[in-house]
Amino acid sequence: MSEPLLHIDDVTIVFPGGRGALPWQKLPDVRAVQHVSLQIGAGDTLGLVGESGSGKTTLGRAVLRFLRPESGSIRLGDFDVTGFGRQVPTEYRKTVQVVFQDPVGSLNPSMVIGAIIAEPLRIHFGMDSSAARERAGELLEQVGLQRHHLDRYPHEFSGGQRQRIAVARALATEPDLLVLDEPVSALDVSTQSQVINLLERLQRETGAAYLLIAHDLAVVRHTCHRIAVMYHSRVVELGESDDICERPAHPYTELLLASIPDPDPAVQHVKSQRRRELAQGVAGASGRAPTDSCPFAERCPHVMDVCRESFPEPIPTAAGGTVWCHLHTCGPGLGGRPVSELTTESRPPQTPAPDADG
Amino acid sequence: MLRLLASRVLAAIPLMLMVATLVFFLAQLNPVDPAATIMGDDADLESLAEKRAELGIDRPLVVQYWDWLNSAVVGDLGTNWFNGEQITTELRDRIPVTLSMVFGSLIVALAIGSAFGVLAALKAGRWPDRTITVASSLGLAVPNFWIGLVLAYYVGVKLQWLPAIWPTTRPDSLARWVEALILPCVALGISASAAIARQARSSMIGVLQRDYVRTALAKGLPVRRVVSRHAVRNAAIPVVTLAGFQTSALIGGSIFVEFVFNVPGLGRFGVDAILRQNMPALLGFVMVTAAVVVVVNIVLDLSYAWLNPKVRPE
Repeated sequence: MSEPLLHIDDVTIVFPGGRGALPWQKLPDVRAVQHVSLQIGAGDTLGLVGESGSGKTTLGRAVLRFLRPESGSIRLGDFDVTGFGRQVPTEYRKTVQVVFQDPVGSLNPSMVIGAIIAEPLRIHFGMDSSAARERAGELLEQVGLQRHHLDRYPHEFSGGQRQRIAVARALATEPDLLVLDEPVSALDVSTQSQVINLLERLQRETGAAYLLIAHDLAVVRHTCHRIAVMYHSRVVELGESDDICERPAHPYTELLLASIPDPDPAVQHVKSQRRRELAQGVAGASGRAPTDSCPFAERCPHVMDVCRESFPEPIPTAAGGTVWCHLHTCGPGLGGRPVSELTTESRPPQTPAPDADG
Repeated sequence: MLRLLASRVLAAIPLMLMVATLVFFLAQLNPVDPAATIMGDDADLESLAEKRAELGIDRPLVVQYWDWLNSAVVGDLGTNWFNGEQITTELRDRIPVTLSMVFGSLIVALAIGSAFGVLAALKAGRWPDRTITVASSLGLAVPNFWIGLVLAYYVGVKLQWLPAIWPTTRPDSLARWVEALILPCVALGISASAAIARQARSSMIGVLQRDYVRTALAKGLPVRRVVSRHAVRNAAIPVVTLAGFQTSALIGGSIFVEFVFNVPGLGRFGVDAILRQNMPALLGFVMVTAAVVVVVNIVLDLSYAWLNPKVRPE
């Protein structure tokens, strides 16, 4: 990792519980993100992977300062993001930009493309309208559209084109960090690869760092230098893309990988069998994230008693990443080796080894 | 935009024809003989027949209809059966009164309604929102003539701030005209403003959750500009639609308010025409009201196209 740009340090994000059906009922708070620490180097791409409700988008929104963490700190370059008051400095808005999942909803339907892209140029660079229009045209060409598209409305474009426009708009401020919140999951597969290739090319050209939020490991592996896997409010594994995908050290990462379909039927047959072995309980994080146990315990094929008693400490993996899983210190004591060494038949003993958990 | 206007105006012509036809023949279903209403109970058959011939209602219906339509097209709506005045002259005096009242109350409704609706949306779930929601339920529930009476009594009679009834002589200056209009407009506009506030609140809340509003915030725009530039225009689309419906309701509601404030407008004229089976007056009244509604809808279509590029013709 190059010089760190974004520091997320022990961040916890809590949504206050609303009112219940009766006036005096108070619903419990929702802990969307718990004790997450991540870093992104300048010009790097970090993939944030996890299923719906894992807290990945919430974390992205905290980086964009649309919501404020309960505790922990977020720093970006010289900005202390968690220290901002009600008014977020304009300079910070210039430094961080966002591309949302839904290209229909993220472009104002009553504004022409030229106005949408020119707006940040006028705010942050004080350009007059002709200079902003000129630059907006350049940006459109950079994302593979044409200058004459400036006077069209968003509904006149296809999904892939709209996402290109959203990217062009995000790049207009020349940001250091781009938060990509599921940028391709609303697109069909052939368009997905176009947009991903575009994002990769633009990163080489502009040197912006990416925080790529996705639920699809295949997309993330292709694009990211490093991957953080989130499950139900916690980061459970963090490491280099290839290590995570080849040698997962957390049972949830292994489950995620097993659910990527393979075009070869023979391989796919083995894979889906493996997935059936791994899958326990209901898919999808449900209920409220536990504060003092591993959230994956209820679905984990290797679950031990200790998993229900405490959330594990970070363990360095053999490949150089980090994993949060009791399997590495208790029970089989994997010590950072890939979780695939365990077979589901040889389940670990239900009591932890006495010398475990240092 | 010009083509849209032209096509809407052209489409309005057959519509007006249909309204005229429908109203003319529906009014004939009335079993009461207008001649008897005019002459009184003790008129003999001979003079009744004479009166019918004079009014032209002894001719076949189709002939009457054709005759009326022919003169209506060139702007002659016939003479009032009761006082012999030209219907067009009578309407000419009354149309500005009612129209200024309807549009005044529409302005009241839009101003109050959208201001409170947007405020409620920005403070959704907190006390300003709750207060506005309760107030708008109240505003919808209270009939406009009651509000009119309360306003006339307290603001007009007790405080003497504004005239409690329409001046008996035609207001001679714009200031006096506006002064006389304020209370009727408020009375008429309150319920429409409540409806508009609700619509504005819900559509604004919807728009504020859209990603393009987040995008605008991420661009670094101050919140106030995000609201005024990105949110309001998109939230206005359903509000404009509702305002169109409300205009028709306001024309209907103006009848009651005209009675409360003794306003010499179309409403009184129309009610009078109905009660006395005054056919030419009734037809004139309906045609004018229909024309106003048609014009309002054309304006609405245009503003809709201005707000929403998707419905704009190529």
